[in-house]
Amino acid sequence: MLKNRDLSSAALCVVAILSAAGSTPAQGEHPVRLRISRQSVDRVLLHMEPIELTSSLPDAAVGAQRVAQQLVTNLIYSDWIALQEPLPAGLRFPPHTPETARGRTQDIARFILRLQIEGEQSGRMALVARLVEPESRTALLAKRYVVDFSQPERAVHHLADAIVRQLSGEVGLSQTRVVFSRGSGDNREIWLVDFDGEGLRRITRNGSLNLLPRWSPDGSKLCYTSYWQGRQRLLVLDGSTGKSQKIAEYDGLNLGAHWSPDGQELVLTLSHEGDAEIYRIRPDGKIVQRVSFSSAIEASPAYDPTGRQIVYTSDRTGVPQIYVMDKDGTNRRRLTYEGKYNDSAVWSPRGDRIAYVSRRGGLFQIFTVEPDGSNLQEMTLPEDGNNEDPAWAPDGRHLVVSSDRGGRPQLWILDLDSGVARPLTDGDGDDTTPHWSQPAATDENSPDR
Amino acid sequence: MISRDTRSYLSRRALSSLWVIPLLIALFTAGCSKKDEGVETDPSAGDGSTIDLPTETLPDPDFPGEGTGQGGVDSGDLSGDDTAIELEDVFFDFDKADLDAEDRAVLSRNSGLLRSAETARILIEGHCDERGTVQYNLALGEKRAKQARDYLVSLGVSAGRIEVVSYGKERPFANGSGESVWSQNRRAHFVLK
Repeated sequence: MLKNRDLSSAALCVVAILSAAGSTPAQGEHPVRLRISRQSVDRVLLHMEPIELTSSLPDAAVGAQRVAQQLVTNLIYSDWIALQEPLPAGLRFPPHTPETARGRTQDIARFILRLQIEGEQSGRMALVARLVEPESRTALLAKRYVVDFSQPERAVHHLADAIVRQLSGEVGLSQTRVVFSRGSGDNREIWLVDFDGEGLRRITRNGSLNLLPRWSPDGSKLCYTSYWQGRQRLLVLDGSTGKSQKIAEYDGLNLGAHWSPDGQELVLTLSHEGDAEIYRIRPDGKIVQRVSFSSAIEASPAYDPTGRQIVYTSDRTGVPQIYVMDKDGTNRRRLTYEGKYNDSAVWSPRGDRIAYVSRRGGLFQIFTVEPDGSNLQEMTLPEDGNNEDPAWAPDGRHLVVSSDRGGRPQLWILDLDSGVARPLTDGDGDDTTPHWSQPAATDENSPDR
Repeated sequence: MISRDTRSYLSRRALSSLWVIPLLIALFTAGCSKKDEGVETDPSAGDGSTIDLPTETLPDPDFPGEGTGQGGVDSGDLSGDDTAIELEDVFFDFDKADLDAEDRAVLSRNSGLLRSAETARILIEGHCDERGTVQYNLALGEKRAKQARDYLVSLGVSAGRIEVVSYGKERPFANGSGESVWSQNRRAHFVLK
């Protein structure tokens, strides 16, 4: 098993290398940029064998190809794995594969990935995957799935996460989803997309302005800010019923709620007592405590992963800056001193740093800083356009942002360790305010303790 | 001048709540949860042999979409017949919510019109240009709308006649970039209710 990457701060060494993406550049496609910020992140090199397919069904080969391709894509996008060239026939590296993810033929693969697919007459498929250590021929991992041939996604995602967990010790992201707001015309609706960019689907349809969706910690609900029926309110959508309920409809703002890590309360911005202030509320909307009191705008609150602190924005100095306080409003301290417009702070699930946006030279860039204010790092460059609305992946290593580097606001996933960026949404809408789900509660994602 | 809201109402179909479009994408319908009883996995048995493996249990299916088209139009309604009065918008400097002398003159004229149309109720929308973040712009937009409201109230307009909403940068009047566009979007916009 690999060592976990070293998270301690090293001297920042920024090297920008432009390299061409592996596939035909689409309109507005951005070249992959490698930025070595701490130390190189070593990917584990796998050799993928040709798929063994046993089936008499006419579409079996197509279905098997699809399964294998989606697995390749998810393994590359995990940023933990490299695949040796050449890939089995018919399989391709996904768009935006960095050079470090392509293993040269002469390199020595650490493990062999073997897939066996059996098509059954009912249209189902048995998928067996093994990760084999070449010298000893022992299987490090062996998994079997039985799925519908036409819908193998969940099995592929589960398998990819199992492989990542086995090789890195880290939580896999393939079973996670990103929820976001997609605009067209005057309105915005809430949409959902899988980690690998597939499964794009709309989940609200109320014909108004809906934005800032946030998952509950157990993934069963979404809260979001909505102008349905003409006023800004906080709604909660229940995942099992698909129905939304009004949770907070105070006069004025009911804005940008985040669930606490234990799911027992939410923090948001209300303005019914005068100007924009930060409040903690219960899931039924009742106010637990008001935690900011100045005549300045206070907004954009978010909890730390323990739920004991809140990071937020205040313009009490005249311009928006980031502050941290205990969740009861005590112990306020200012976090940002550089830049004249800082907002949208979110605390890494690892607790080790806070990401936020800072307007520099007219453009929004993503910065990270440690909770004590040290180790300020810039994670995007001016040629990346505007980068807003960061949200952390559960691994505390990836961020999803809304970036207009491709021409219009689209979701991009950033790997903060390597600097690799890839688009998550397809440029068909104005995509903003994303939020990343927690991993599924499966064996593959339980911590090794 | 037709307000933005009128234009968008005319172009938007009201959704009937009776017509439900299921948004569920069918995922694995059959259960994948049966384990083969009594067959143990032996990882050391190596590659490609016919040893049976227990079948993985996959997590529950996906987050279904919101099915009902729950009513549609927002931004207040068009009832009321005080259509004779036309209220002017006030504009703001970048990242600011202060009223300048010209803004106060506009609001003074608006208050005069509101005094003569005694039953008119209004909605003040606060807007920002694209150069800020989503949340801070929503807060700033509200501050702009409230500044305009408070000044009207100070001129004698009853506060009960005025509602306030912020759209931040989400509903710009003019699309594109550059100061000629941005300056149009930094505004408090008046809508008759």
